[in-house]
Amino acid sequence: MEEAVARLDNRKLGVWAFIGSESLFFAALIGMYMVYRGRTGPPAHEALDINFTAALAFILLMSSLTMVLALKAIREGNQGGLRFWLGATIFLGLCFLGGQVYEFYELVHHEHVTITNSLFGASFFTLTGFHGTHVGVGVIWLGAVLFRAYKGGFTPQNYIAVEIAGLYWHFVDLVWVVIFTLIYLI
Amino acid sequence: MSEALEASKAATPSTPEEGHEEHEEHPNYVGIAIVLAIVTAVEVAVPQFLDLERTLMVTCLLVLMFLKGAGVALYYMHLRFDSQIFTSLLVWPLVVATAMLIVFLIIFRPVLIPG
Repeated sequence: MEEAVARLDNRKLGVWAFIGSESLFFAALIGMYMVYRGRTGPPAHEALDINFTAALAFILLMSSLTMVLALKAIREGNQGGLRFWLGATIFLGLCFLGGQVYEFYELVHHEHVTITNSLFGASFFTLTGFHGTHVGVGVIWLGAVLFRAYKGGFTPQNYIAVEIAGLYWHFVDLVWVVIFTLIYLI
Repeated sequence: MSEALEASKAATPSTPEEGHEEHEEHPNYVGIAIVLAIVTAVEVAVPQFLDLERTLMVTCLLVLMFLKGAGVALYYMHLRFDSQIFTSLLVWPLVVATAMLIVFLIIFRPVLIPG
C-alpha cells in the first residue's frame, strides 16, 4: 500500500484529496438546502425553471466532453487539438456562468426571491452561488492552462497540469449532476 | 535546474500510471456523452411527463443521478483505468457525505416541518 502511494504523482493525489474534501463541503450545503426548502419562500418547483436548468446541465456535461477531448489530444501530441478543446471548454463554462447569472436575475426580479428574504432563497443562492464560484475558478484555471498550451508547455509525456485541471473541471460537473437532481428535480 | 527537471520528466513518465496510459485504449468519449445527455433528458422527462408515485419517482431520479455521476467519474475522470487509491479518495468522502445528508434530514426535517 505504501509503495503504491509512493509511486503515484503527488500533484494528482493532492487534487483527489481536495476533491474528496470538496464533496463533504457540497454535501453540507445540499443538506442545508434540503432541510430548509419549503420552510419559507416559494415552492422550488414554482420558482425554478427546470427546462432552462436542464439546458445548463447539458452545457456543463458537454464541457466535460470537450475537456476530456483536450486531454486526449495532448496525449496524442495534438497541440492544436489541445488548444481548440480547451478553448471550447472555457467557452461552455462561460455559457454556464451566463445562464446562472440569468437564472439569478429572474429569481430576484420576477420571483422576488433574494438571499435574505427566505430560507429557500438563502440556502439556494448559497449552494448554487458556491457552485458557480467553483465554475468561475475552473474557467480561470483552464485559461491559465490554455495560455501555457499556446506557449507549447505540454507534450505527450508532460501533461499532468492538463489532467489535474480536467479532474477539477469534471468534479464541478459531477457536483452539478447531484445539484440538478436533488435541488431542481426532486 | 528547472529545465533539467522538466527534461527528465519529459524523458520518462513521472508515474507508472502515465506509462500505463500510453497503452490504454481511449474510451468512446463522444458515445459516453450521448448516453449521459440521454439520461439527462430522461431525468427531466420523468417528473414532468410521468405520473409516478412520489417515492418511485424519487428512486428513479436517484438511480439516474447515480448512473450519470458514475459515468463521469469512471470514464471522464478515468477512475476505471487509474489507481484504486484515487477511487478511495472519492468514494469514502461520498459515503460519509451521503450518511451526513441522511442524518441531516432525519434530525432536522421533522423539527422544521411538523407533520
